[in-house]
Amino acid sequence: MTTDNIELASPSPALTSGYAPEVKVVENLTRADKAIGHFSGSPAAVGVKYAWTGASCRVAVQVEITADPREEERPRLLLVKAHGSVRGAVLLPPKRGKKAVRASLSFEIGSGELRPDGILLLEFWDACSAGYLPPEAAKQVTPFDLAKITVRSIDLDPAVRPASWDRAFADGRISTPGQVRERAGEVRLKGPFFVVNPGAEAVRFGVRAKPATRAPASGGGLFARIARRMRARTPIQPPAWVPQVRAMSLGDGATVGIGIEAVGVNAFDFVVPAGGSGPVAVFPQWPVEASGPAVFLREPQ
Amino acid sequence: MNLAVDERHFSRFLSAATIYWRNNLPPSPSDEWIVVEAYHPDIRVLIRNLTIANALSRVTGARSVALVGADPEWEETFWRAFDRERVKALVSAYGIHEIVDVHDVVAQRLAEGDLGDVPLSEAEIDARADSTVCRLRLVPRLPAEDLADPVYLGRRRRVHAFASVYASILDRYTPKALVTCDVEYDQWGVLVDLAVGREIPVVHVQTTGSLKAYTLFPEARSGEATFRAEMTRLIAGTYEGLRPHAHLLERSAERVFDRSRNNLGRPSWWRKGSASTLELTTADETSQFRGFVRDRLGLDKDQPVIAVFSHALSDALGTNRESFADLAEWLEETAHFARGRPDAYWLFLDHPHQASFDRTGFFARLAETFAEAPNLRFMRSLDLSRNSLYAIADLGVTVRGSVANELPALGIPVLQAGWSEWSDCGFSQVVTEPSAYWKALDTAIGTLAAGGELITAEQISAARLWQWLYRSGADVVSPLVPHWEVMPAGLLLSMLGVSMSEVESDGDPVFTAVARMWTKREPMLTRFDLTDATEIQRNVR
Repeated sequence: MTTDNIELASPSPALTSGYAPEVKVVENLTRADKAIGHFSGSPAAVGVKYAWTGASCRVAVQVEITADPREEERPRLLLVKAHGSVRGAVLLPPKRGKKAVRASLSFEIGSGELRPDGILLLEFWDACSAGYLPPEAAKQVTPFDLAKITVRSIDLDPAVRPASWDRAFADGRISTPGQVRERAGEVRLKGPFFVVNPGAEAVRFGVRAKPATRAPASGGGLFARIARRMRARTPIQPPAWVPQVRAMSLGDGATVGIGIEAVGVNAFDFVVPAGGSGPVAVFPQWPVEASGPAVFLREPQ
Repeated sequence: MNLAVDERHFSRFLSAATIYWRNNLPPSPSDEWIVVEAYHPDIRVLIRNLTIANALSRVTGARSVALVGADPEWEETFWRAFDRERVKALVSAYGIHEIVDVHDVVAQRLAEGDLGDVPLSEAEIDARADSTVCRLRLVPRLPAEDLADPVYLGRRRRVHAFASVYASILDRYTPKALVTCDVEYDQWGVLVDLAVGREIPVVHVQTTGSLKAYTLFPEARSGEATFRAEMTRLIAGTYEGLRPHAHLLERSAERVFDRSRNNLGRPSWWRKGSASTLELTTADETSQFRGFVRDRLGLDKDQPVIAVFSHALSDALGTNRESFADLAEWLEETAHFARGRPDAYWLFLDHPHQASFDRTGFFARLAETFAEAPNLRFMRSLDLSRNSLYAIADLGVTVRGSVANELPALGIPVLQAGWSEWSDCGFSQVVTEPSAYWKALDTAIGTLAAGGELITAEQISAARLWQWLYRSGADVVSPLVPHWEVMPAGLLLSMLGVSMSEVESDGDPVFTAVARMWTKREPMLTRFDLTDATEIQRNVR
C-alpha cells in the first residue's frame, strides 16, 4: 500500500538529495537536501530503489569529509561495499579550517546481483573498524571518530566522463592520502601509499621518481651564495630508481602482484591487475636520497 | 515543571479555561463527587485528567475534588521546579470545586506521628515502598540491607501515611469515580488500591496519543492482584469483541500499520528520530539488509537471531504478572540461558531511556560479564535502527515492552515473560513462569533452526488490528485535548485556548466518548461504538 508517508516516484539515475524517493533506506545516515546525507562512525548504508531492467549497472559515488576541529588531520580510509562485497576505497584527508575534501568512486554491479524487488545497497565502512586494513596501511590512517562524511551523490549508470585529476583521480580508480598538482597530468604524492580500485579492468598508471636536489648551505659572501644557488639548481645524479612495491588487497589482506614496466629514466608504468578482492593499497618504496615526497603519479595513458 | 510559559500567557489561558468550563459543567451539580488526581508536573497529563473528570461530571452530575501537591522526594529527584500554585490555578480554572493538598496532609500526619489504622496489609505496604524507592533511587532492586535503611523506613512510613490520608478522603467524598494518570508507586498506587477495594470505578488516563483512558468498573473485576492485571483481561475482552468486525477494519488497519512504519508518535514512545523509521518494505530489500546487519554485528553463522529488549529497570516494579522477581533478574537469567545456547545469536538491547531508570549501570555490567560469549551482543537500543532490527530479528523477547505488538505486526514473533496491556490479545506468546519461559525459548530456537514459523498470518493480522484499536479506535480526538506531540507548552496552551474560546462544545468527542464509556460500562474510551457494525462502517473508509 502506498500512503502519504511512504511513496515512490519514478526513478531517475542521478541522486543528489537524501529526500529523493529512490533513496529508500538509510542506516546511520542523516538525510540532507543538497546531498544524500552525512554520517559519523561506521558503518553507514544507503539503499537506492532502481528501475530493474535485468542489466548490469555502473554506479558512481561522490563523498566528502569535513574535519572536526578537535581531530587530527590524518586521512581516513573509506571502504565502499555494495551488496556485501567491497567495491572500492577512497582516502579522505580532512583539512582543518578548509572546505570539505571530496573524492569519487565508481564500480560495476553485475546483472545477477540485482533483484527485481530489491535495492542497490551501498555500505560505507571505516577500514579501521572493519578490520580489513593491513598493518602498514593502518599506521597511516586514523578511525573516523568525529569526522563528518557526506555522501554527496549516487549516480546510477553515469555517463563516461573524462578522467579528472582530482582528489581521487583517474575516474575514481586511484585515491591518495594527499597530493599536489605539479603539472598537467601529474600529481606529487603526499604520504607513503595510495589506493587503486581496479574493478573489472586492470589499472595502468605512471609513477615517476623526482631526483633529489642539494640542500643550500648558509653563510659566506656574495660569490659563495651565487655558487650555492648554481649548485642547488643542478640536479644530483642519483642512482636510477628501482621500484620496490608492496601491494595488498583491502578486501582480504592478500598480497597483490603489481606489474612494473620501465618507460624512461626513473619513470615506470604500474599495472594493478583486474578482479581480485577489491581495492589495493600500494606502498612504493621511496627513491634513495629523495628530499621529501618525490613520487609522482602520472595519469593513465 | 513542563509549563514554560510566561505569566501573561498562562493567565490568558486560565481565563479562557475558566469561562469555558463555567459554561460547560453542570450548573447545579449534585452532592456526589469525582476524585481527580493532579500530581503530575506535565501540563499534558494534567489537562487530560481534568478534562476527563469534567466530562464525567457532565454525565453523572457530580462535582470534582482534585488531589494536588508534590512528594518532596519526587520533587527533588524528578520533578524539579514543580509549581504547586500553577497547578492549583489550573485546577481552579477547570471548575474543580475543591482542592486537597494531599502531600501537605501526609507531611502533617508524619510530623505528628499520627498514621492511624490503614486498610493495607504489611505486604502491600512493603510492595509499594519497594517499587517507589527503586524508582526514586533509579535501582532495579533493593539489597536486603537497604530495608533497614532510614530512607527506606521513612518511605514505608510515608506509604502508611498515604493509605491513611487516602482512606480519609475516600470516606469523606465516597466518589463515583477516581481519575488518575498513574496506578503505580505510593502516591498513585495506594490510592488506586484503596479505590478498587471500595468498588470505586478507576479511570486510568494514558499519557500518549490524543486522548486514551482505561477504566476498571467494580463489576468487571475478576480478582487479579493488580489494576493492570485486571485491565489486561478487560482490554482483551474489548479487543475480542472487535475481532468479528475485523473485515470492516481491514483497510484502516493496513493504513495504521503502514503509517506506523514511520513511528508516528507513540506507542513506540521510547524510540524517536530517524533510526526509528522502518523503510524496508519487500522481502528482497529485507534480505539484502539482513546481510549488511549480520556483517555489522559479526554474525557469521547461519543461525537464529533473538532480540532481547531490556526494559526500563526500575519502572513500575510488580505492576502486573511477570515470570521473574524483577526486570533485572529476568534480563540476567536470560543472558545466562543465552550463553548456554550457542545455537542462536542473542542481541541484548538496552532501553533508550535507561539513564532515567537505572543509575547502577546494570546493563553495562551485564555486557561486561558476558563479553566473552561469542553468541551474545549487547547494544544501546538506538544504535540499532528499526530497519536493522526488522531485518535481523527472528524472535523478539520482552517482558511488557511495546515491541510485543510492533514486531508481530511486522511478522516477527515475540515471547513475553509477563503480561502487558495487549498480552491477552493473542499475537504474542505469553508466559509467567520461568520454567515455561525456558521451554518456550528452547522450542523457539528449535523451530527457527529447522526453518519453521513461530507466528501465523492470523497473529500478524491480529497485531495490526490491535494497532488500529490502540492508535485509532481507542484514541479519542477532541479540540479540548491537543495530541501528546503538541508541545512546547506555549503552543499547547495557545491551541487549547483557541479551542475553548472559539469552538462550540456540543457533541465534543470527549464528552460523547466519556458518556458512552460510562453508561455502557466499557473498559476504554472509544471514538465510536466498537460493538456496532453499522457504526464501524459509518466511521471507517
